[in-house]
Amino acid sequence: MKLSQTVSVPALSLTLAFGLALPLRAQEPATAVTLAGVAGIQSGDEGRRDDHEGYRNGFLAVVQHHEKGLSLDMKFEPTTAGWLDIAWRPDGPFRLELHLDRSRRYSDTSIRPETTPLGTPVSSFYPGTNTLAPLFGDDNPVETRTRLRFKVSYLFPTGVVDLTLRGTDLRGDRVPEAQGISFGDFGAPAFFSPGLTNQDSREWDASLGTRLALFGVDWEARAGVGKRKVDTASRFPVWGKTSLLELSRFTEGHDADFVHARLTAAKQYESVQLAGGVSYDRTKSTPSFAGGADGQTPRDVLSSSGWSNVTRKDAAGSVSVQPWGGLDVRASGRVGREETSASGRETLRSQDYSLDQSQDIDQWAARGELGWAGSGLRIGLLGGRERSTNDLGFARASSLLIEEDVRTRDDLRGELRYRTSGLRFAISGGRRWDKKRVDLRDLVLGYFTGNHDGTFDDITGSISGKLGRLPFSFSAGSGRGVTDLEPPAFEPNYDPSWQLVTSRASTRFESFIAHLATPGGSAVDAWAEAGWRRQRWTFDDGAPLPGFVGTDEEVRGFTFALGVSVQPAAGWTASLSGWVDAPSEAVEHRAWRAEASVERTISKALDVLLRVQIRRFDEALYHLDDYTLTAFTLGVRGHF
Amino acid sequence: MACLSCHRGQIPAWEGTPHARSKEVSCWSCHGDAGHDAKGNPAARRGETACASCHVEQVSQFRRVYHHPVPEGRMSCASCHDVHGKDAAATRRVEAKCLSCHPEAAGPYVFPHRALEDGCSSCHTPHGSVNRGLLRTAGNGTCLSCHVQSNFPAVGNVPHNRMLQGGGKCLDCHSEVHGSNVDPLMAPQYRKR
Repeated sequence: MKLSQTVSVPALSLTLAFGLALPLRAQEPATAVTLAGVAGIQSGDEGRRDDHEGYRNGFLAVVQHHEKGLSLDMKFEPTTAGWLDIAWRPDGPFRLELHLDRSRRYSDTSIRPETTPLGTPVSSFYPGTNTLAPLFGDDNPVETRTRLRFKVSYLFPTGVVDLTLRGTDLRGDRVPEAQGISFGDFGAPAFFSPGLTNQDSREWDASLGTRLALFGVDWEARAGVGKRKVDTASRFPVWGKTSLLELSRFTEGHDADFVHARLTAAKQYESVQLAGGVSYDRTKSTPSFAGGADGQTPRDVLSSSGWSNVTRKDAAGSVSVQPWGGLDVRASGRVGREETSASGRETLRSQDYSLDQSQDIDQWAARGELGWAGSGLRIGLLGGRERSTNDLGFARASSLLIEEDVRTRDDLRGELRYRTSGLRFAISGGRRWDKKRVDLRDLVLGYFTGNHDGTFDDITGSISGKLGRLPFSFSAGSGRGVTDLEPPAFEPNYDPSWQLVTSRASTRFESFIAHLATPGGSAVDAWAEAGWRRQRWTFDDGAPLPGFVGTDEEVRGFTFALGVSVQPAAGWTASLSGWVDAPSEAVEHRAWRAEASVERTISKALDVLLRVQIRRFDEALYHLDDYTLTAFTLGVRGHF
Repeated sequence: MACLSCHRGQIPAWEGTPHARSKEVSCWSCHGDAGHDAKGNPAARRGETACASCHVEQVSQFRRVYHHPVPEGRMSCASCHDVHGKDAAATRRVEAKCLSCHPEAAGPYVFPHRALEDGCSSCHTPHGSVNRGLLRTAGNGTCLSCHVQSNFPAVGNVPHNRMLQGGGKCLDCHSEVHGSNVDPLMAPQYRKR
């Protein structure tokens, strides 16, 4: 697959350039090694987004090898991110797969306004900035995520058995707040600059699975054990007029061991399909917390530790029937129960308190689907109900909560599709009803949301086909949701004489997308896409939220994308692609990306490639992240 | 389909999937027409390009500034979606897919955020968002849609108006949004007081 082919499909073509440089020619051994240098030039405020971390100066290496029974894909980026995929399928009964990938990205997602919420300039406080640097020394926290999946399989005449190892590792720093700056406190002018959390989380899972045909039934089973360990250490600074007032620290974590088992079976008849399954999961965890503060205003230390057991059992089944001519009927259902029990000790201001919790969740769901297809027409109607009952109780220190809530979710959808004369029409829509009913039995020093009812409607239509020889599609969608709440319960009341009133929360969206492409397969491939969307979140009742600002939100804007790939002469391939996304109102992005690449085949064994990427990002509303990145990648690819 | 005569065991419940019921998607729609030999060499995979040819709305979402790294090749559509109907007898919740890569949000917590019972997509838009963290809204709307009181400047019995004047965010204090091991209000830095 040459680069030119990757740009014939919108959106996903943009950054796959060197990752898909080699065709998957199953029968012919082929190896390609790409070595390239990456150089990035930045201007602007050197924002904290992935772009900069993703284009650090250095070397890029891509190795691809495919032959009968073996495929290997490896990519290594200057940031140390990349992947390694190996699939080995020898003639014998064994199969082996290895997938390893690592991503590395900036992890500061905070917004840093220039004034406190009360309007006081940050510059009037010590140290005069709300960046991370004065306290933490680093303004660009990074987190890395590494994932591993290793699977060895053994095939036998009626099935396969495998051993699978899976792991995820997440480490690095992140900024835990959305904004990183808050209100004055302690009866004195103060502000909170962003905190920093160091995280060290990992999970691994080893499981044994099989898939086999037995007694005319297709069986699949998997059982395994695993461990999850999550540790975080956080620091939150509080600044005053002339000094650091306090640095709050806490550590938190849990150490969980889990087991899981699952069995499914499926039976196929000519016009009837049956499937069913059961599963069991159990997690034992030891959560802990320790916190306090240092600095000039020492605080009492709080710590807690304990254990929890979570057991979950589920069963599910489905039956699909095609009784006659184009008609299909499907019914499915699921039941499950989750039981949680937990206990621990909490120390607050040198006093010990017990901590106990129990939670039982019973769930069931049923779903029906009816469809008919014929003469280019397809009509479908589907709907279902999900219901869960949650029986919750916890007691800690002087707090107590005992309640039962029932959540119900119903939905009904219809769809219609029609094909004629090279055109395809599709329309689908539906409504969802959400309901929660709370039976609050006891509440002491606590808070709990009340009953709520919500409905959500959506409708989407599309038409696709060809304008002359050019494939096109146009789709439009709209939706609306409303949620009515009853007042929350809390105790003690701030003032029992005040009657709380809640506000209806509404969401709306509209979107349009048009797409046009060349037929493909010629020396010039091109596609273009234009879209517009609007999303609104509002609280409909009058005079909402005194003192709150910015609760209603709207985002609207255009998107544009295009791609062109040209093979001007034998041995040459050139492509240009890019997109623009410009939402406004609640956010004010001006983002666009452009990528141009040229490949020259020097010989059967050697290609030379050049890629230029330009990324512009301006987050105007928050006066944050205004930069342009230009990255050059120049390399060679050898074929062996 | 001819493919299923051999691959039935791998995808036993294909007929029940939305893809199959649409009558518009076959094996070749995604795997291409390269075929494979009888000894197990795989068919050419068109991968995400095949998904993109029909799911244009999702493709557009992946072009937003914050998105899961599918365009970058670090994830595939099948990382989250059950395209073959292998989970036809699904007993696990969708969130299990999310949590397999996000163990830091998996808990179990002493005080889980009850919104998690409605799934990760209660607050996040998984394909792409204009907001950091793939959140549905830039401001407090996501939180207030469940925690609003309209005639009293508080949430619960705590006056919040002063905190939120000028654009403060709920997450500034309630930073452990997925759950906490110490504070049911998920604001551990204030719990100690």
